[in-house]
Amino acid sequence: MSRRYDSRTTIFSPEGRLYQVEYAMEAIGNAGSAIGILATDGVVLVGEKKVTSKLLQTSKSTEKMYKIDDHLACAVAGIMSDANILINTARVQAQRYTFAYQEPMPVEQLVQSLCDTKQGYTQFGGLRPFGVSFLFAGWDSNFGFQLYMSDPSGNYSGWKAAAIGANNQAAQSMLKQDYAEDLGREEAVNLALKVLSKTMDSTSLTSDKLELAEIFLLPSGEVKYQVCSPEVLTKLLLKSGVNQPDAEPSA
Amino acid sequence: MECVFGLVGDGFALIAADSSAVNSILVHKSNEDKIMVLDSHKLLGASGEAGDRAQFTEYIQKNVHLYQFRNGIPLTTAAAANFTRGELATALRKEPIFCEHLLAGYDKEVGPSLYYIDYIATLHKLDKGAFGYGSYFSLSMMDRHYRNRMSLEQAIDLATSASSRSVLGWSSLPQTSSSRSSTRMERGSTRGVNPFHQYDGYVHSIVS
Repeated sequence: MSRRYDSRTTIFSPEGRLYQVEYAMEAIGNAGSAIGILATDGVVLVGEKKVTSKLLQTSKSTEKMYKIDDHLACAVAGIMSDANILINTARVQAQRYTFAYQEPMPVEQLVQSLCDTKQGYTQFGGLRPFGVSFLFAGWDSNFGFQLYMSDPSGNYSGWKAAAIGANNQAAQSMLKQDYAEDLGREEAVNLALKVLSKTMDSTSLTSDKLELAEIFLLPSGEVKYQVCSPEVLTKLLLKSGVNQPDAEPSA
Repeated sequence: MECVFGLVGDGFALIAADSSAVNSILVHKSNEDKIMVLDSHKLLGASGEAGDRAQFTEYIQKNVHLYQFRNGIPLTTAAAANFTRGELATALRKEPIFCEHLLAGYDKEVGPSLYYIDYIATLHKLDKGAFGYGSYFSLSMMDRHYRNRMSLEQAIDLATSASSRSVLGWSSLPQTSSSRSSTRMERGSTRGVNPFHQYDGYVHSIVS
């Protein structure tokens, strides 16, 4: 590991690595985790809230999930202030597209556009990369429901199930075992809660430590992004059996 | 003297344009093609300032292609029309693009559609539209004879009669033959000087 090549983002190390990008990913590895699962009738995003204090003012705003456009939302893991900048950029890009074409921006195009922005910070300008990973969930008329994961390098790919943040490797392998192609939204929520309960550090899962959001289609054909209320989330946790540390979670 | 008109029929959208390229008393060309093929399912017919017409339609065509290359999916007709209108609107407060357009397209979900885009970036989705002096004839003829979901034969008859009174660039259309096939577009021209483009879910050829 060559420390001499650390300080500038815009140069390769002799081994062909971009250290600053890797360090950014390290930062995310310490952040609250998030899991996304693609179901047949929607996309589910679950996030772990790291900061829980009685003193925190609970407001309508969310810590992990953000709406980018009517048909697109994301979960974040990493440095929140960096995430805010990128989310704003994504929102502007989505609206700019709609202004030009009078249509919602296809999900992959938005992800690609944002990743192009992130890539810029790994190649020129001398500024550090963004310390955020995203899980994008959305629907468009071309490819239906989609889930994408992107990281500070500006790479992205489409996933059926993905995890970012702390313990994401453990979560990813659990998802690999238990994911099935024909999961409905409810089963996907159960799976996500189950996986998160096993990878989170805390002993028991309560609704104030989690955020759950879903993207699905209303009967009218409109795309709906819905953040689960704490009351409903508590009920879901009870139903899926994950908030009892000793009990076996239901399948 | 120029004329472009278009209409929407049963499973197709059609654009006809005259073929004159004139500068004051000089006829540069009498077989000028004023209908740009944007992609496999879109046509942009334009009339106006000669340089603007050629350059702008080609600019739109290249941007439509670029979108497809970048994103792997084609633009919908509505999106292409709004994009075109956006470009005209942006240019409007600097140096307007003196060119008026009819954009015809076919989308699987929506069917055929026609968009009227004038030089000051007005955008209308219409069933029939026309530009130029010839519009006085074609719009009246279409008011009288246009019906919803016309067949291609009926549409060609209508187009023939709509263009028959114009001074420049049209000649009588010969018989047409048509056959169904996979969604494609084919344009043909007469032995005379009338490029007659049609786009739809069938393949049609104009036989001279």
